[in-house]
Amino acid sequence: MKKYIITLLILVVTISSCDNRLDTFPTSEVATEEAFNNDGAFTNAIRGSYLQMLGGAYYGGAMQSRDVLSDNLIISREGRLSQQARHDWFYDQNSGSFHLTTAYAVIRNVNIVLANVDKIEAGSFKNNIMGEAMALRALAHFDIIKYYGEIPTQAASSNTTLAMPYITTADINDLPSRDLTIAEFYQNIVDDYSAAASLINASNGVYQLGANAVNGLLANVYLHMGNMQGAVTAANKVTATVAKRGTFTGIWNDSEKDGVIFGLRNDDVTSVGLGVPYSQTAGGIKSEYVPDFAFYTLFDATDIRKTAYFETSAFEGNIYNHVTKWYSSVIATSLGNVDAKILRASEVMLIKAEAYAAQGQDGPALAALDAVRSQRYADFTSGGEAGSVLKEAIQLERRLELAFEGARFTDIKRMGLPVNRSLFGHLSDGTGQSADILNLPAADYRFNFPIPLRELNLNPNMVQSPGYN
Amino acid sequence: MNTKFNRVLTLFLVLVAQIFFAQQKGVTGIVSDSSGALPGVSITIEGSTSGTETDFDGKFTIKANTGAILIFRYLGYEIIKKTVGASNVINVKMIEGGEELEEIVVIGYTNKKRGDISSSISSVTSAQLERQSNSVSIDNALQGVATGVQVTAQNGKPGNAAFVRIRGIGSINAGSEPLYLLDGIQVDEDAIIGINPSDIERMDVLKDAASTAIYGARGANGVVVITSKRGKKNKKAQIRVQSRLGLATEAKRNFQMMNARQKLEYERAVGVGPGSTNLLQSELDRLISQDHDWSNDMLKDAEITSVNVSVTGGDEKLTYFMSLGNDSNSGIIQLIENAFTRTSTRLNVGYDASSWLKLNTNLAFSTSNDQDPRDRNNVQNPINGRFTANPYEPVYLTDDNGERIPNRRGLDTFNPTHSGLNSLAQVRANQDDDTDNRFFGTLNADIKFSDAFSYQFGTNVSYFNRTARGVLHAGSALDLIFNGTPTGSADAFNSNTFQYSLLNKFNFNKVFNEKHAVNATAFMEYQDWYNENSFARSQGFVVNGPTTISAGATPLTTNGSNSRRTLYSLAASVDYIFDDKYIFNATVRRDGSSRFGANTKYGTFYGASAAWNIHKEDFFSDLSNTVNNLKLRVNAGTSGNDQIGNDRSISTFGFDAYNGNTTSSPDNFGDPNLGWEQSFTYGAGIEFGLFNNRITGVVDYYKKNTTDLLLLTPISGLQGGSAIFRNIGEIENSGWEFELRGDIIKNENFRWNAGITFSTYDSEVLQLADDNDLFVDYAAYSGLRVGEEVHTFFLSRYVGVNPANGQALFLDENDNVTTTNTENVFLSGKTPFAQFDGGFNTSASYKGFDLTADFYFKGGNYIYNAVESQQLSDGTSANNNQRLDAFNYWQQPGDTNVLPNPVVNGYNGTVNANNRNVSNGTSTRYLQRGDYIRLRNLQLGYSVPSQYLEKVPFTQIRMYFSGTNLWTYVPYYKGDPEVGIGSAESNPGSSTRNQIPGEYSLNSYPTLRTISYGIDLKF
Repeated sequence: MKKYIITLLILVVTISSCDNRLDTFPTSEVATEEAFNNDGAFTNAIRGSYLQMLGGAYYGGAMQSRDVLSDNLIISREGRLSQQARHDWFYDQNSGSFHLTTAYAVIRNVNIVLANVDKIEAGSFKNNIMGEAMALRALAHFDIIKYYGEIPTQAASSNTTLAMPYITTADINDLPSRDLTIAEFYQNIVDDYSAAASLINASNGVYQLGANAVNGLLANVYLHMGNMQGAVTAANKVTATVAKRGTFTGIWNDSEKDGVIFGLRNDDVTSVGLGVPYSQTAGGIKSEYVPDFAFYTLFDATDIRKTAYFETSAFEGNIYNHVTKWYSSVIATSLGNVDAKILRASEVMLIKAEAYAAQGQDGPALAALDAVRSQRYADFTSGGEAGSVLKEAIQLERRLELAFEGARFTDIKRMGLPVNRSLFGHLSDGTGQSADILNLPAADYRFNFPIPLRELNLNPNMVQSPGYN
Repeated sequence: MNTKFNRVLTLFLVLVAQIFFAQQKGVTGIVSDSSGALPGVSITIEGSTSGTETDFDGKFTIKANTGAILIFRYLGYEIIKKTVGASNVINVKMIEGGEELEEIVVIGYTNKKRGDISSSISSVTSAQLERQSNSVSIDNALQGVATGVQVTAQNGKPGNAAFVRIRGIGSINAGSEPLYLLDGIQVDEDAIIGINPSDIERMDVLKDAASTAIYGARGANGVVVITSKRGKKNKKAQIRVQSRLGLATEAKRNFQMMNARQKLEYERAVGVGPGSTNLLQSELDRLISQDHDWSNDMLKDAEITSVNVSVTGGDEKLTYFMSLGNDSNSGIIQLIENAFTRTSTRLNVGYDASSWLKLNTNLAFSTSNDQDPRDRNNVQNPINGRFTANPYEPVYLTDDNGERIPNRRGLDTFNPTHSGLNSLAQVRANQDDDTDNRFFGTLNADIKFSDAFSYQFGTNVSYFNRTARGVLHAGSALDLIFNGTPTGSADAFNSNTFQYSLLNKFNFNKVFNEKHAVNATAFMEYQDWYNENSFARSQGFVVNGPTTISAGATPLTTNGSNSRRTLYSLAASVDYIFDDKYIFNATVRRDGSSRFGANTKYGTFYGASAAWNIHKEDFFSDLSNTVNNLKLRVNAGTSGNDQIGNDRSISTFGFDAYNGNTTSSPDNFGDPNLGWEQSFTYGAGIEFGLFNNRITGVVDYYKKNTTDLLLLTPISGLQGGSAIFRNIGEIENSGWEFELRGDIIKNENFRWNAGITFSTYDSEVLQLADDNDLFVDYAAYSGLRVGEEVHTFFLSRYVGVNPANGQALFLDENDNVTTTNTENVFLSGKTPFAQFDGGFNTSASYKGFDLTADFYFKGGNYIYNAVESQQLSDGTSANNNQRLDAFNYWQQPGDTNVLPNPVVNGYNGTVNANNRNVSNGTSTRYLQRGDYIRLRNLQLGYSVPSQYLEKVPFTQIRMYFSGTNLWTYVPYYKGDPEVGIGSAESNPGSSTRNQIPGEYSLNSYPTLRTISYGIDLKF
């Protein structure tokens, strides 16, 4: 009898204790349906999108090093030869996704926020969340289309060419197609920015988008569309002032924020090696890329940017002009772990200058240009340029001011020009070895990045960009 | 000598005499073994039904005719035959290691006699394990021994497990590893290393669904049932000491790197590096004089030690086995002191608590430590670094006087070489130290209600703790690269996994009317697995100061997570055997798992099998002297695969930090209808034994169809990329398995047996999501297409060089010759998996000497030789050292069968500046057949004959020399052909367990060749 009682006892104890234990959940996460239960959750999700943006494939180094495609940089032979194929415009469907996936991931994240946004009570908090989300969506789409499609000003026909999908819903099962034209796509960007501008807070701090940033970014989009009046109007809404000469150098080691309208904070916690595409340190700076010597000589001796952007020093017996714009920070320990500076007042001012000049308004154009130049050169006096000389001066200043921020390649592209590198070598005095490939002809198909093979394989609606088949 | 001859002659005469003068009489004697009297030995008279057993003192009495033959049998001992002679006393000494009375196969929830089994099961016993002293990991022992089981070492690193794939690749994104059970405890593939092989009695591999259906949702990839050693009742304590010392080196390479002179010459030819500059003759001579082989500087001989002590025995109620073991292997990487050490203990006890209650407990604890080099595709990894650094570059930096320069830590500075970092500096400065503690415990109580009806309560527990520490020393080369000034960092990872299960099992076992044997089992089981882990990193350390995380100035990263998995099951199994001739088995199991979607938590699995013992049929009796065993088996069944991570069916948001504040973002996308991946297998087999089992063989065929694949379906990059698990797709695996063993010579002094196993494998993808080609994220060079084999290589086709100018030529999708390598195609029939593999095992013994040799072969698989693409790089990697045959490039029109021209194909060339990237790009140029045959294990032993042991306290002294991987034949592949992990850290899928074994090789830890000496004592 005893054995039956014992058996029964064990059975009762062990079977009753494992009822209903099949529902498990990781305690470090929340279910998606519960992720937007309160206002704070929306704030967190928006911040999550900025963090996504700081990924190494996007503003965590890749966008800043797009200058390797341009005539601003040439490869340093004693570096690790990273991005060499890109530098030589040798990329095809097997060359990965550049920033495509990360930028679209930002778009997906904000689309999830927007899909849930009606859970918040109407009011300024909701408006600001929507404003940030829509502005982020516009920014990410713009960063995609600049590289994956033609720019409206590039050629007369550009507005009717193939764009990319403009994604406004969050459904991971969607297989988007490229049925928008460039003109339609840019209109979507303008619509998102315009809506955002009326919803967003005047300021959310430098490390999140605010009204100044949205207007400045919108001005840049208008510039790429050739809508010069739109660019001026948007740029005029930006109240930030150009960084002073005295604080300029400090911007690049994160001790100053003067003139920075929008950036991404990159501290020891996020720990993104943003400057790694430019250099490493191994008993001296070991550059991956150095300025094309022809470009380097454009920096005047009195230009504060020459000391802020470069360090001429030896590495293993050779002397180089190293790019130190993204080299070290006072807030993070590792070299290259610096804030991403995405929009500065000087860029807005230069957009304004270009847009005025394009409309023949040389006076306001020169004023805007001098607003920048006066804070860069010691003992500055205006050159008083006009006409085509003024336009050239604006482009030169733009190239100098935005050097190594990724603007140069798309500036060449939007003006329908070729990339022409000099025959100078990679060492500090222009000797050494030049770039292997010196030219990318105007309108070459490689001004647009290829759609990655993974995307073509899994999305039957996707088509490759011209030239890559 | 003369006396010995006389003795034999006398014995012979006596024998002859007795045949003529047979008469029945009482025979008595004592049966013993090496450790004393042996109770329970069965004694029968050949050709008669009468028999007896020895008592507790090993004594027996039996009535037999003079001239009759007495047969002594005892489980685990050789059968001994003695002829009744003039004497009435026959004392017998039994010898261990013979064939068992009838092998008991451990199927997990039940144990069965080999003859009663109707499924396909391969087994490895402790006797086989002992002759393979090569590995600290028992899964390696299955290689070439078990048919239908492909075993590939992950790499050569001491303490690494193997990839074990039973009957092909059952899954694409869910795991393909079998279910491992150690005395019923589920053990992950990478925890197998916590088990001391010396503690293992046997491993049984359950291959077909009829036997794995009882494991339900976890059985689809096959089941490896590992049984630890137990004591035997009524046996005196036997103490055993096993000790082994060995040396290991990298297995012999079948390619040669350039020396200093050759490399400089090559540099001049391709226009890269110092060799291409206008060096003064004196400088050139100096560089050449610095020639050395970096492999000698970065690698060393590994020292291996192994000691095991065990005590086993039992009385009438209690059995015990206890052991203590220690293994260590320094590994072959310079500056790493201990690649792997393990200390393990075990206590297994059985006790008959009452007439109806039996208790059994197994307790094992092991602690292991390993120190790893980086396994990635750059110079942080010394296996890469030794091929990257040039032979003319010295190891250390020296000043003008030739003195070594101290670095910031006061140590000799390693020459960073052209690559910027010396692997040795990395190994010295960036240390990785993992300690794993594992506890395995089981407790079983068997309650017998009646002879037929019983109940078992079982519980088992495993606890696994890992602490991993990583240090980057302040002031070291890599630290200065990252931080500019001496900073240093340290991290600590801590993970605890606690798993328990509860089993309530009822068993009914009865024979009706002597002919109808019924064995029915029903049980309920609950399993609960819980992991919690944390990670912290800090930086800012004092040069040469303490390196624990708390000594760092700035805390950096803190991470932690936890997850739980539960499994609730009900199952039943019935065996019916009619007259030992017809065997039927049916199984059903219903599993509920936390891993699956809210709507799909439960699944039901079935299995059935039948066997016919033809040799027991009356019509077969004429043949039964020749064919003593002939069995036909058929089986069919379903089982499931749940090897996806936990909580993959739920959509979640995870948290992080930005600008000092909390962030959230989508972490996992889940499908609430995610269910099992289900396999349906059917098969048939024949087993036979000839001439009293002098020759045995097994032939099996199977077909396994896996549906509702747990497919990690990629999400469009335009939706943010990544992937989601869905039940989509179907694959099929089939194959033949052959096994043949024979005792070629078998007499008192000389024995020689040999066995061969041979398995074939075939697979086909039958269905994928929308039948689109699938490129899983962890595959580097292969893809999936309906109609092709699983993981077929997907590459552009290289067809050699243009004889006119040396330019590399490829085929496009339409088979036209082109100079670009962008058009990839599926290469039908070329996959990383062998089309066949097998083993050839032989052992011979003569008096005290024994010799064992195990060969393993496999073929039909392809390996992408990524190492070769770096070493025959057409100049693109000519900064690094190159293989000597890189010289064999196109030099003049008409050259054929050569490498592409690095000059024409070079950056400075004329045809197309990008061509060097093209010729050296990914293509079939580096895809090579992986066939090989290898002498895995060779062991020569000598056991001191028992007559010399009478005066010493030992009952056995065996000494042996053993070698592993002494010889390999590789017809096509350049490099070591046993490729498992390509590159643990540079793999696209990152996780080791997700890698496709053998898809590519990229400087993971090399396979080792070991020579060792061992001694095995019993007393």
